[in-house]
Amino acid sequence: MMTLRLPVLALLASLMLMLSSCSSYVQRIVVRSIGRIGEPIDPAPKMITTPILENTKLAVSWVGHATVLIQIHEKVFITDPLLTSAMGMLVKRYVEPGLNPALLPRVDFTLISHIHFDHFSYGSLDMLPKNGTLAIPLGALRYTPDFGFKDIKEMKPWDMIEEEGVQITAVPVQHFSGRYGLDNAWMTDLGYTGYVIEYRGYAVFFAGDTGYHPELFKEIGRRFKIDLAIVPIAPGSSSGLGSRVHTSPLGALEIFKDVGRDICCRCITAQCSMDLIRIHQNQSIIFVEPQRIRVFWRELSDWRSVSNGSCSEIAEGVWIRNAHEDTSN
Amino acid sequence: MKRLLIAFAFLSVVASARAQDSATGNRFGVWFPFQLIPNLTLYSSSAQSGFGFEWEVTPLLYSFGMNKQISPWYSLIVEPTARFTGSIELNAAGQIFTTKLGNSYFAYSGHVMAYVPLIERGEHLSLNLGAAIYRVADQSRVFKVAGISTIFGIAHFNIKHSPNPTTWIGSLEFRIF
Repeated sequence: MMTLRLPVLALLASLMLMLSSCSSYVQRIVVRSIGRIGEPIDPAPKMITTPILENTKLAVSWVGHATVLIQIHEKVFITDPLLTSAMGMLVKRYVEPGLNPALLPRVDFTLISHIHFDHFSYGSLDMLPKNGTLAIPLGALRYTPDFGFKDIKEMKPWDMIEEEGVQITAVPVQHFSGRYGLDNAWMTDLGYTGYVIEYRGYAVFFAGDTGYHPELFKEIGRRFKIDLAIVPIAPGSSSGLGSRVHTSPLGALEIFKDVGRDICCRCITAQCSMDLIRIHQNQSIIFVEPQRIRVFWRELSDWRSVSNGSCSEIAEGVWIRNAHEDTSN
Repeated sequence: MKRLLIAFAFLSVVASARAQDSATGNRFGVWFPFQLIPNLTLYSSSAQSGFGFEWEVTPLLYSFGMNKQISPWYSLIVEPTARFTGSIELNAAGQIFTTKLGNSYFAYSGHVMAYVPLIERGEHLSLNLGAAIYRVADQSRVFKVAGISTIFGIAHFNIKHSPNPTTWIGSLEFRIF
């Protein structure tokens, strides 16, 4: 009997170890996803039919989740591409992506904000053209297969790369990393970043996933004249400015103000309606709470009524161009 | 078998020296307890059948699926990505086998495994092929190994076969780094 007791104890201990390695957040996602097996994925409200625009200065289209297609003049950027029907093998999308990657002839820069499954999707990266550079946060190189991109740049906060006049700067954000659970323990200050893209006078800030931090974003605002801020409204944070690692709607708004309110006012004067894009809602991360979105728009409405501005909600697959340009798709 | 173990030890030292910088003490301290999670095995031969637990460790792994900016050599702590994107691995394992009659055997083994990515670079599904040599009760047996790995390379299902006398081992292996 003694010989049997040892293996049984080992098995129980191992099961407890495995369960403890899963956060309640992951458990909730998995449980909800299992409940959605067999349910169809809704088509995107609109698909991007012209993935590269001619004669544009600054244009942006939300593909879904944290995936945003950005074009500054002739340069094309895509953020955190998630084009597969599920993320992390288990979590099914609610809405199809608003982009057919087969229509995309080139991407100059693919930016990965962090290594979580919904932001660093191997299957999605395989769908993209490989003629550009893949930018990843420090620590992500050990998670990066040989996709065949022209180059891979691993960047820590404030690192800057310059290629053909495009400057990409990794900027600090407040999130967490790790991909397979156990590695959270040693990827404490690694594996996540935001980016600022600068090209021909325009600057675009992509925050990836982040919580609100009172100094980080003000510093980004001091260093760059941001024309477009892409800020997440993320799950799990239902009050105040959000959790440490994710913003609530109000937290997202605070980031937006911190990184470039003065620039926003300039854009508002020019009736620019593209300064803020909210990502993460109505997508496969499931914690969309309509009342929170309403709070967000009410706050934004109050704020813009003060500054007499104009900001709009953007649907997937719609190109939003600079105010001085034709806005047809 | 002793030669094999000496070779593993030597290759492990070489690989550790060539491995990347982040194998810190903290990393090892977090990783080690998870390696105590045993694999579950069932075996069947003409003489007897039963079940067992297995603990395995990777002294050396060469990954050919990762980007070229990092060393392809890994030892002990292996990011799942390095394994399932395509790799060749040497691993060593210790087993406790228990028969229906309640008799227990201790065994140890060495494996040479190849992982071939099938879906999503292998993160969703990869093919496992290899060979193993088991040492049980002063006898050595060679097994052919085939199987799959899934769930981010964490769960491996392998079938092992050895002729004369025909013996099958099925294993559910947890490879947590």
